[in-house]
Amino acid sequence: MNASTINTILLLVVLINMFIMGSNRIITAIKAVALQGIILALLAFFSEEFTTKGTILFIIIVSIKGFIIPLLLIHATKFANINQEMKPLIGYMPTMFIDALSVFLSFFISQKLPLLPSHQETIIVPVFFATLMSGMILIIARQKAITQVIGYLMMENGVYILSSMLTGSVTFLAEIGVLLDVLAGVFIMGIMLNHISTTFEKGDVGKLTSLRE
Amino acid sequence: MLFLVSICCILGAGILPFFWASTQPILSDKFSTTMHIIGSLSGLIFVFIQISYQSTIQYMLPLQTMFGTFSVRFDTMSMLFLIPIYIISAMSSLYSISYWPTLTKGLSVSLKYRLYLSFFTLFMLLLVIADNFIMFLICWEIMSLLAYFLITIDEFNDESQSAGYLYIIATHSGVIALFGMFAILQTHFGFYDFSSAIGNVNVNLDFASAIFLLGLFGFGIKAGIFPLYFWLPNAHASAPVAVSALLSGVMIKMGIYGIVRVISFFISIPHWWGWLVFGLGIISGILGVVYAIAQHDIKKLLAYHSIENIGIIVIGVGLAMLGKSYHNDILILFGLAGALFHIINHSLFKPLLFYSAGSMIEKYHTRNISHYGGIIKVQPLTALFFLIGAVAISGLPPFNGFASEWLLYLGMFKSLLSTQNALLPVIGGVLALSVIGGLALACFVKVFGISFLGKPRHIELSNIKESAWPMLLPMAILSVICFILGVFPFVVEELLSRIVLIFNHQPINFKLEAMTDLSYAYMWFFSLFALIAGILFYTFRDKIQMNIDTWACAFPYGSSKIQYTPASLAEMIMGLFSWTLKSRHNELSVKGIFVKKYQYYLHQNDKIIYFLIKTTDAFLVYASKIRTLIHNGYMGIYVLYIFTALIIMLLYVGQ
Repeated sequence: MNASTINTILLLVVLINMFIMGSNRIITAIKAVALQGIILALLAFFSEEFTTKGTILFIIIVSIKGFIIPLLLIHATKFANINQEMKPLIGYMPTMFIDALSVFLSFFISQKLPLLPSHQETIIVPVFFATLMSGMILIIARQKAITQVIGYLMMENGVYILSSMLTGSVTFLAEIGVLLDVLAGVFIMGIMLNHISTTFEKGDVGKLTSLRE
Repeated sequence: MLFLVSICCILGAGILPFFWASTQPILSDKFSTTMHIIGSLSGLIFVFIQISYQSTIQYMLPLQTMFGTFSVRFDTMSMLFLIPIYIISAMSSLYSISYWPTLTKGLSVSLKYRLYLSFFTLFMLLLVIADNFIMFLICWEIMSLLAYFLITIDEFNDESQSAGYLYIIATHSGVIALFGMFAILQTHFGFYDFSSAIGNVNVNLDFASAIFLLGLFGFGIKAGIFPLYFWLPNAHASAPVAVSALLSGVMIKMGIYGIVRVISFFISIPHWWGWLVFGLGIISGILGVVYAIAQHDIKKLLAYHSIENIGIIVIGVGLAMLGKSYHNDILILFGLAGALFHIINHSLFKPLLFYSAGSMIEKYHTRNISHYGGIIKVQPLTALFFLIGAVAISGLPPFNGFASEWLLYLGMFKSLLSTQNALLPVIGGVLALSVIGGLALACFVKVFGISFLGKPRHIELSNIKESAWPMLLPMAILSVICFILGVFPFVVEELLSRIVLIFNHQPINFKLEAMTDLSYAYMWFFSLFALIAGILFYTFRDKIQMNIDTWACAFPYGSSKIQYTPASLAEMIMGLFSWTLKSRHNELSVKGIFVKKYQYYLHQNDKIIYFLIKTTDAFLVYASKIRTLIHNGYMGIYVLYIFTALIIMLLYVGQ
């Protein structure tokens, strides 16, 4: 694949970020993150040469990111009886605006970084920063515990962009490890969500302020 | 050798009661005191031998650290500071036989008391002879902690606990500054001990002013210089009397010791250092005595007088610094000699005053002088010793307070006449010293008049006897030393001039020749006084009437209610200084023609401490508000912090 195709697909990833920022239903956001994961896995799979290892990794990533984690999360929302509303701390439009600013900032930062010439023609590094920041903005700007999980998943996607696109298929073990971590994290968050919702009636992180100190 | 004997004896005085006190409490108290006195005597003999041989001893201790080898050094300045430590600690130990008897105070607390007392003495001794910086800091820290334990020895007294808390905060902020100062000396100048640093620090290098300011802060907190004295009145007031005497007489002098040592590091001194120290001395001297007059608590009053006397000492140190920076030898000589002599003198008469105040507090269980009155009739010896202390602290002849203040006056006047650079603003010091002296006299007129003369106000004088001999003996000894040093001040002349050499690094052309003149003047004065007094007594011996009430204003049927009160006596002076005082008064309104009841209540207090506490309080409240704003428990905010830090780091890397 040439650089312009990769850039077009990566812009799609950024657009999905914006979409998640603006979506007001939790289930939509979960599905969008899953879609983002699948797109990234496909991109990584087709930009490399065809190997057995790469195929196995592709299948594992698509199954975990695209199906297992979203299904777990959707199940958790239903099980814990969480309302579909996002409960924004910062409104949807301002969040999108901040996200746009973060995209600008990530392009600015990556221009300053000393990159290899082969990486300078693609927008891998700026999109990595943009996705990472979007995940963080989602964590900051939304109140519910489950949106934080979505934010972490977005950040993981960002890390995956960097690791798969810049270093190639060498990162098989590392990527599998990260995936396992994310899976375990989602499991734990699911259990926690359940407990938070039974203790505080709603999965609202704002209620956790009483736990400080 | 004698020094080791003295250390072992003082150590034994603290440890031996552990074996005896449970079975024979009275004997153990006396034994411990005897050990302490033997230790002090051998130490004093050692000091006097060393002074007369004019030798400087230096030992390396077998303890190597990464900050140099521990070493001790007995030079003339250490000797001077060893004298009050030995004398006053022995006196306090003696005083404690009847002030803190094991029988009545309880076994465990008395064991602790004796232990802390001996270790406190021990570490002050080690402090003044320590040469290595780290050894000095360790001794300083242990000394400060033991002082805290001694102040808070009464576990059930909330007042002493909170005073101790304030003290420990103050002393540790000082220690931080000292650590900084010694760290700069080690890293930037490469000195690990006092003896190598003396006269070798170039003032033009970076950090020289930082060393001076950190030292002034760290040692100034201990010494109680304005405005760092905030811990001092409460700590001195609520500690046991024998401990207050040690704290006020000896421990705060360690701060002055440190300041003089630090200043003697420098080859030359910038002008503003001298003016700063001189100004601080004047302010703490005047404010100390003003607040002392406002106080009605006798121990707090004496504590404020410590601030005043530290002010006088600091004026002397400031004069010496000015003399050094403007090259005026007379100011160096007389200023530093006066300051050091006043250190000795204050460490004699302040414990004397504390002991006699303790002898009253012990009997009447109150520290408020407006309750006292007429005590001279039942405790004449205590009254006599208090009077001697009061005369000495007010700087009146023939006691030692006059001799040292006289040196300062003389230095300031002579410096104006000298051919070297004369400094006209030094006259301000003369004015300040005379104001301080006058106000101190007024204050002690108030204290002595209210508590010893007149009629008792709120105390019962029947069945009260004079204090026991262990309380009176230290007062008597200190009074005699005060008198001897006052009349024959030339005995310390040579010692003082030798210390000035350590400070100045080079010989001074002038000599301290003032002291012998003073003794001659006293000789004439005494013979004249005796003659006149004899003639007057012989002429009027039939007309002398002894049973007159003091505050009765010739009204023969006086009651205790028409006497002067401390507040009314001090009112005029307090009016002059009302801008430095925070006063609170309420008055019961007078009704009808024949007034049945009238009440007036006046409470004046230290505005500086009030201001400091207010400011600190406001700052802490503000800081904690900001802290709650930052650390608010909401998870998103913490992620925001991480996010911000990440972006800042990325921007930093990108540059």
